Amino acid sequence: MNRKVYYCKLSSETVNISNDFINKLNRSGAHILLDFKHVKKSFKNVPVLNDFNLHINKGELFVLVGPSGSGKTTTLKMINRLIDPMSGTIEFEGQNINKIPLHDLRSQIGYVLQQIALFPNMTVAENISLLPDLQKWPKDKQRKRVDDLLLGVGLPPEDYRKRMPSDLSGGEQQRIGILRAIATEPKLILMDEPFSALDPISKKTLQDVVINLHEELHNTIVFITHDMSEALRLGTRIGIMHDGNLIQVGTPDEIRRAPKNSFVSEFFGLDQPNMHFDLTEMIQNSFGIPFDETADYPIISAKTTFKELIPILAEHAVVNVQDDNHHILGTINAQSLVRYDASMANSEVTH
Amino acid sequence: MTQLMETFQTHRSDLWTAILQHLQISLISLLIATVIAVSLAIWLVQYKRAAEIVLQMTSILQTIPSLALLGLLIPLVGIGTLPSIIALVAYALLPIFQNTYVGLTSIDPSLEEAATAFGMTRTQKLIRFELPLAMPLIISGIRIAFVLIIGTATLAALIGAGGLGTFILLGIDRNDMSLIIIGALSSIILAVLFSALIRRFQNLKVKTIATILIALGVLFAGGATINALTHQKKELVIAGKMGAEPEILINMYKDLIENDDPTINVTLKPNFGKTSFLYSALKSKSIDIYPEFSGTVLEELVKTPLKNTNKEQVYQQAKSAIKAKDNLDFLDPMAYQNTYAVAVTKEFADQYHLTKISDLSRVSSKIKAGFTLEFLNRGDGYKGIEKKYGVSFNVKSFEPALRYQAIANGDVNLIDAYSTDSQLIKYNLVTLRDDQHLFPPYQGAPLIAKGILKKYPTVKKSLNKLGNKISDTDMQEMNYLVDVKNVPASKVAHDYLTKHHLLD
Ligand SMILES: Nc1ncnc2c1ncn2[C@@H]1O[C@H](COP(=O)(O)OP(=O)(O)O)[C@@H](O)[C@H]1O
Ligand SMILES: [Mg+2]
Repeated sequence: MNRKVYYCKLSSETVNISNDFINKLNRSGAHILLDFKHVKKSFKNVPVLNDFNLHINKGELFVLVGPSGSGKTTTLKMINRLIDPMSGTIEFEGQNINKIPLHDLRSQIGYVLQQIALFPNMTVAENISLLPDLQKWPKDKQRKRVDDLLLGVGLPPEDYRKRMPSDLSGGEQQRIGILRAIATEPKLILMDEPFSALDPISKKTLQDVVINLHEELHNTIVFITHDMSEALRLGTRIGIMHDGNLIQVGTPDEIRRAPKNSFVSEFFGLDQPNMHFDLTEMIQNSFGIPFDETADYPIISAKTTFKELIPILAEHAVVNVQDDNHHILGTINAQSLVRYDASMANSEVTH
Repeated sequence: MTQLMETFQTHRSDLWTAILQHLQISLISLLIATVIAVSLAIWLVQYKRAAEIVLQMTSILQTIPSLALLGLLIPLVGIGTLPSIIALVAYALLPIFQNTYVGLTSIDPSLEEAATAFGMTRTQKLIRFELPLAMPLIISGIRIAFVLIIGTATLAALIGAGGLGTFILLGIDRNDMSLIIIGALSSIILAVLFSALIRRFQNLKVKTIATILIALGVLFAGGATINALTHQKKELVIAGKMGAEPEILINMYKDLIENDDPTINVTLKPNFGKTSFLYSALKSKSIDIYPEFSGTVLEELVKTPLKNTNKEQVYQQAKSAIKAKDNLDFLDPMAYQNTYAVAVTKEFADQYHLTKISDLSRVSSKIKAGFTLEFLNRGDGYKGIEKKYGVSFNVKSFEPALRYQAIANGDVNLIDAYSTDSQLIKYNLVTLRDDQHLFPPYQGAPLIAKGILKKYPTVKKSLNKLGNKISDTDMQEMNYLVDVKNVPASKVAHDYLTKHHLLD
């Protein structure tokens, strides 16, 4: 719920200001957690990353999105040094990661895999408390942590603690995967397509889990996906990759409004009409934002098509929707559209 | 069945000792093999090429016939428990190494990646998930190895390490099925019981298993040290070939030696194995004395042709040849001659009027011969018959004791025999006269390791008391008592010595 309010405040009219603000902060360097500088990588003389430059700020949920084979995983694994760059440097809190003892670096970085990779010989509780245990936390503190975390993702601890990973559904397993990664509250969490093997419903639930966790913990998350709706739904900022190049970096709004090239717009499906687009349904399913009587937003018809809506939202950011009887149905902004679109994309897979 | 129960009753305490010996050798071997194979596999998961080489090597070890491996080990480490354990360890390595290696390398790479990303060290990975996940495979490897060991350990009896194999060998030698069945059954029961027990390890934590293994290791090491300490008092070890006759003889040796010098402690290793084992054991000083035949010394040990078949000359030639070759002492020979003979059933002999070996050429196409492997390959055995008598037969090879059964069943109609074998009487067989003087005279006498006579000066005099004693019939009767009547060899030996006033 928090999140929705947050979206309203951060919608396009405030984006310029915040970007400005961020840019200033960037120059001071204080808020940069990760900084890629001219990073290059080839596998067997085939370039996979070409001069990659990117900084990720503290507290961001940064989504790296791009088609399969574009170099996302390679980029991510260079952060916790599962892969080393050929040239260039990566800085973590201003320090070259090669200079940080490997164990220190990795203990500050959580990792969630697409394959989930829970240890099948350990119970749910043992999996979650693996890192606390390796860091020699007292047992009762470990137990309390496990219970708190399980509760936080809606899994009753007394039911789940003693279960084996094989007794869980895919969605439940990945929840445990996430809990295992955050158990010691690392500064940074890396997630490599964590939900791409899950069914659409679990996917949506888990996206909510990530959003809520990020809200609560204010940690930094680098999230990889090849699913643009997931990127738009989750990301506070998005980086789009293609063939080892970072094509565009920006907030979801920025990318939607000004796709840098045809690849970006095609990839995000911005030029494709949506088959199941229905503004009434969108508001009824509460993808909208709270109606504000005092604000003077433009009013559009509930019959407006997706294609017509995009330029309107690009210009006005927030609009009120009315039915044929001039009755105001609700208020929407770009985020509403994105989240509705994402949910449609998900449910289309199920149909 | 009743016979089985009877045999079981009479041998109960022997069986216990054999089972314990068997289990001890097997468990020690298994423990050593597990420690070696598992650590090797853990170390080599990082080096694929090296692991493959080790896999190849352990497979090659496994293909060496167990008997050959034991034979190869004797010149290196002597006889007894040590070579048995080495051989058993060699056999057990492959299944344990292979299963551990496969178990560790087939772990989902994403688990490895996750663990690396969490900053886990190699040891942490091993303990936390690699070994636990590989455990079912490792345990099944250990179980395969154990069943293999329990089976192969029966061969340990051949080189004097004891165990259930002694029952089986004794059973074969005495043609006593009950003994063979008891030996085999016990070995099967051990394998099944322990296999089930080992399976339970599968669900234990790595730390618990390590603790159990260390405890077992300490236990065995402790036992071995105590053993070594208590056995420090140097004793004389006397061994004998398979069968009742050598066992009776070595019991006489023991009685004679201990009677003359009570400070000497003689240990007997009856049914110790075949000629070559004993000879190697004597040269490597794993044993000190065993009874050997003059003809065998020449034919098999020094491998010189006999100058003639005069028994005194053969003995003298053997004595000086073995002294020159290996510095072994050959004491005075006994009276009886246990020479080779070929035997047929009474009916067969009557039907074809057979009395001497040369008669066989008339019926050579009707002959189905069952010979021991030893007889088949000796210059003074079947090869000599072919050469000197100019006849060949259709021949099958048999374990010594089984050939009597074969001729009784009619599977064969000609066998080789020793002239003192009690079975000749039992199965109503007749021996054919060696009219061309092929078989050398076989006179038995103690063959003694280098330096023993110097170290134990009374031994020579004690053993020479048997010189020119024990006639052919004496020996046949004594063999009959042990083989057929199941009288303990020690009692038979002692009775003979008292009766002939040799212990005064
Ligand atoms: N270990 C490797 N060896 C060789 N090529 C690799 C290796 N890892 C990745 N690649 C190649 O690098 C490119 C980028 O891979 P990756 O970073 O996994 O892309 P993404 O995660 O975006 O799908 C792909 O073409 C892939 O085939
Ligand atoms: Mg990838």
